[in-house]
Amino acid sequence: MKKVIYVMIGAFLVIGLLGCASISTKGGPSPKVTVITPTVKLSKKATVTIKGAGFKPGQEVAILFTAIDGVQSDIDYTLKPKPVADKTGAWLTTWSCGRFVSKKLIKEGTYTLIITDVDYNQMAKAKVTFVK
Amino acid sequence: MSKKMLVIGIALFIILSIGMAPTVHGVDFSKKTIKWIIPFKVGGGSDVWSRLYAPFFRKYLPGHPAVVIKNMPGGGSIIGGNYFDRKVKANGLTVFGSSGSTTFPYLLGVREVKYDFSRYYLVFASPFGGVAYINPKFGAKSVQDLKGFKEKLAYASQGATSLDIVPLLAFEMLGLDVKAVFGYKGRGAGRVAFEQGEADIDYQTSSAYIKNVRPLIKQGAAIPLMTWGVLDEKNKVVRDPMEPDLPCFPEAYEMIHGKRPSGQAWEAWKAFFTAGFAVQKGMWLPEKTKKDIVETYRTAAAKIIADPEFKVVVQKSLGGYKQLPGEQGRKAFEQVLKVPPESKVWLYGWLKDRYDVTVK
Repeated sequence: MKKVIYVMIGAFLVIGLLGCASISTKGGPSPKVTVITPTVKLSKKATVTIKGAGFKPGQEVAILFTAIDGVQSDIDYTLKPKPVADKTGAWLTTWSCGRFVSKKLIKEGTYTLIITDVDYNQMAKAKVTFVK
Repeated sequence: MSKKMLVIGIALFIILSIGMAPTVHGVDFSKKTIKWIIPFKVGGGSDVWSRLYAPFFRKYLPGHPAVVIKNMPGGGSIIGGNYFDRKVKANGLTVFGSSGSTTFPYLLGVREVKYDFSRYYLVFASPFGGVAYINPKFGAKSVQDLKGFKEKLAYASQGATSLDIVPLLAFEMLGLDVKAVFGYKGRGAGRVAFEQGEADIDYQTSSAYIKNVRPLIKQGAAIPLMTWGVLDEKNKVVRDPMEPDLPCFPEAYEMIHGKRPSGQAWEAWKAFFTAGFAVQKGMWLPEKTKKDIVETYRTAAAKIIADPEFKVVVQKSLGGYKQLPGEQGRKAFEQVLKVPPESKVWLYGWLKDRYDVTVK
């Protein structure tokens, strides 16, 4: 009977380890994101240029922005071009954030951009500061 | 002894396995993110509405998931609506926010519309009101003074098949000679046109009316005429509680014509009023969503609407209108889904005759 228990515990450990392994392989090389224009003047024509590296080639990226009301927005429709990693795992995009400014969803201060995959799993973070 | 060890081993295995397994009993959104598709730009009416609700869904959905607003503007909200219909998985992680501008092309049978509200699950609905007003230079002090009114009036419109169907048809039913000038981008632009004298008659949604038109009335620069009204429990159009001293449209009609409205024009007006105002905005789950997920969302909506903190939000930012969770919202929206085909046919004819617009 002891053997049966050992087999059960062994099976449990193997399943657990497999689960952990599948989680760890999801990460891959750690993506890095840089805001090329880290300080932006508040205006209706404001733009923020963002670049990423270390992403999986072909990876589609979403960028989440938490506005002054505390609500998170996927700013996809305001990004040009759409952020998709190239063969080297890099991407570059410009966020036209003027409407957030004109609608008073951005005021002076530092904000965090969360870079995720299309299912909103977080991959990286970056900061941008808006000034008058 | 060995039997005892076997029992302990099996029990240990079951307990540990359950601990590792995902929750299967009950809906739990722990560590999940809900995507709320809003088919309009950030900062517009629907975006503001969703941003008021979003933190409360985080509070009341089990597991307190993050709620992300995904604006997907374009095609008068058809692009976002079609995306919801065609691309979204029924796993409870994506919901859709519709507005009257989404419902109208659906009701009109616009060819590009692939979405079909009869197949989705309504989580909750939000009514909104509208108030019409006129330039004081015409001498009217109230809607009663418009009986036999012969002056030509200009109205700054977004388009004949937009929400403006409701005011334009109402003006026509009152016998007013209103010329719609198309091409204005939103009701805000319509109000500016009114203030600049380009438009003689206008309407604003309740919140915009409170903020921007009441000051004009105080200054003597606008005369309020009527509200579109709200639906009561029996689906009768009654006075808008936001402006209880103003007649609602059916009352205004009776003041001018001496009888309650009826016939095809009235049926069409009521159907589009319901879609455009009485249940203007709604949160939807896609077709084939499991019943327990639908119920979880509807329960969360009911809790939100009962939350004293949210009641303040409704008063301050949603015109104070009674929000309609779950079944209440579904029943109200049923009126939209049951628009008689003959009313639609009548409206197609009216749009063609009056504005030379053919619905494709």
